[in-house]
Amino acid sequence: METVHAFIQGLMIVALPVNLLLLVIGITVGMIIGIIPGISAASGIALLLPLTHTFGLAPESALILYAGVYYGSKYAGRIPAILLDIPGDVSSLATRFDGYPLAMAGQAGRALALTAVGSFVGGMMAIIVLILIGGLFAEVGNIFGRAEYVALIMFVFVLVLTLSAAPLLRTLISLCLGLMMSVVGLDWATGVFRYTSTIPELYDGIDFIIVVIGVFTLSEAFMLVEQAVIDRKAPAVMKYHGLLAECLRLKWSFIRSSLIGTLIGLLPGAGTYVANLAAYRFEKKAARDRELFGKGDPRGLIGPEAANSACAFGAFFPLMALGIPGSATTAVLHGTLLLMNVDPGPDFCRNHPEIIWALIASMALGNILLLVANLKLARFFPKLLAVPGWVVMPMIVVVSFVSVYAVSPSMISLLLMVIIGLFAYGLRKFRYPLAPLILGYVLGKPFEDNFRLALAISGGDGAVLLQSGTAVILWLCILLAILIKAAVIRKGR
Amino acid sequence: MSERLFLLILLTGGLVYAYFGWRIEVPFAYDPLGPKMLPVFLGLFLAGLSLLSMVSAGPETFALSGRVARLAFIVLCYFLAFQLLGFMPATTLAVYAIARLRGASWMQGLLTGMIVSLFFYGVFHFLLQVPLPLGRIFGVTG
Repeated sequence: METVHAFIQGLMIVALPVNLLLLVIGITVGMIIGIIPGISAASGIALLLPLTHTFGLAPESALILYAGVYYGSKYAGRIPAILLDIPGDVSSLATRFDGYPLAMAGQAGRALALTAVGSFVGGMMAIIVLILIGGLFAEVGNIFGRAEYVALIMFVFVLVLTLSAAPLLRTLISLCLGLMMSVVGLDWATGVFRYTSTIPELYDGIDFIIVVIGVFTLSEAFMLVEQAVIDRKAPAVMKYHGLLAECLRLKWSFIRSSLIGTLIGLLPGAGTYVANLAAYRFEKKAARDRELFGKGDPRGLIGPEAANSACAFGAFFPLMALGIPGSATTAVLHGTLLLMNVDPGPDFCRNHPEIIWALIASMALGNILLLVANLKLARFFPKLLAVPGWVVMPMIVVVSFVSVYAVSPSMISLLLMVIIGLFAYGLRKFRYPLAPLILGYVLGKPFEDNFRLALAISGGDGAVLLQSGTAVILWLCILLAILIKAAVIRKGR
Repeated sequence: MSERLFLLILLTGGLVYAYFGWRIEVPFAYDPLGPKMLPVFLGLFLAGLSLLSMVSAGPETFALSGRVARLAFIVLCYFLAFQLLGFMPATTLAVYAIARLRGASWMQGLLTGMIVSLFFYGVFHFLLQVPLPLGRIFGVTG
């Protein structure tokens, strides 16, 4: 009863005209970002920052807006994957395996409708779980002290290293570079400036927006300019009749994949692309006629998309309850919320439970709006995909410059962004993953702060890191993840 | 560019980072670790990882395409012109050059450049009240 009351209270906050408007803006912008290939959800969120930075939004409004952009883009990432065989975001990687063949067979409407429902069901499943565990948002942080946070962040790092598709050494180098960037700036304990020289722009560390736009947006522009101009035209989207019957026939695929996605989302350190690929593999394994996969099997479409969406919503639990982002996009979302004066974590959940419930309510409403928009507007998607590269690419460069300049108006900031962008392009070309870099950058400071504080409190005794049951469990999980990864590497040889 | 050269840059960067980390002067010891330990560790760790990668990695290379080099040049010019020429002229020129790089005709490039620069100037200056540079060369600041 208490949960229902809290949820209704959250709905009332969302029902305020300004919040409703921001919700609609958020999911619309998110959908556009998801549809246009080349703009990732992470850079989309960062590029929006100057627009909202100056408006001084209330915390709940900022949260509703950016959450909408985040799950809206994840929802729409499937559209270019199905229509052009180019995923709008890495989290729709597996969707194209069966989506594109189906679209090529003249069934683009069917593929889009099925995935829209899949994303909706996955999202709703995760939202229901969030509602059920809504009370835990404020509670779970209570068992996390300094030592537990050190273990938890280490757990996130290890999960990122073990789940990354890139070679271990490359992933480690990327993580290390992110941590090195996080060190720059004023040291809280001693008042010493590290790696700042006499550049005032670095005194507070390398600005979040400079790093995110350099790493994700500008480097993306360099990658895009290399690609040949694609003449591939998106196929026409026809209305699909018989959606309900097919959804009922495939109900177990919906449920299985939604559960997989929700569980992965609740786990800090595993992003939506992990859920997307894991659900695809699971659906393929569960099928008796698996030879149909890759040729336009609807189960290969529903599974990844339901899991992707469920994971995107589920990821709000570790993000808001613990302040720990689990993927590159949620790391960017975390940094963006910090700039909007929303500090995700136990304190925030304890002091503002109504905002957490407003977030959950907005997600439920946003998910319904996304379903309606995706079913009703499907025939317009090919038109959005037809925006020429010579409009998109210069826009990416200009928006990168003005976004950084609006938040940090100095030439040093712009120069730093250009340098980081060129460096990130080099990393991309040599297939170094960027997610560990951004996670290292975002989590580096809390890791160092908690580690040093824990040791300071214990007078330098390292055993403090293993004092509580939670910390011991987390360190055991870390050990287990390392052992599993080592076994996988050995088997691969 | 070869990956070995890239790793050599990372190796050097790691060592330089560790060296400057070591040189951080701490006025008083508040905590047992202090502000030096992590930077020194990370610098040496990166150097070690780079060295290991150089030994174990295959000789991966990629040729820097002409279009990337030209985009890098345009971005650098845009950076230099941003305050000097001001936002609108610099953006018009940069958008024109990038659009041409992506296969637009000169008319399409020029129109896109003018529309994009006017649109963003309008949004930032009037709506968000974020002053964009008007051009030092014209003797205007702000």
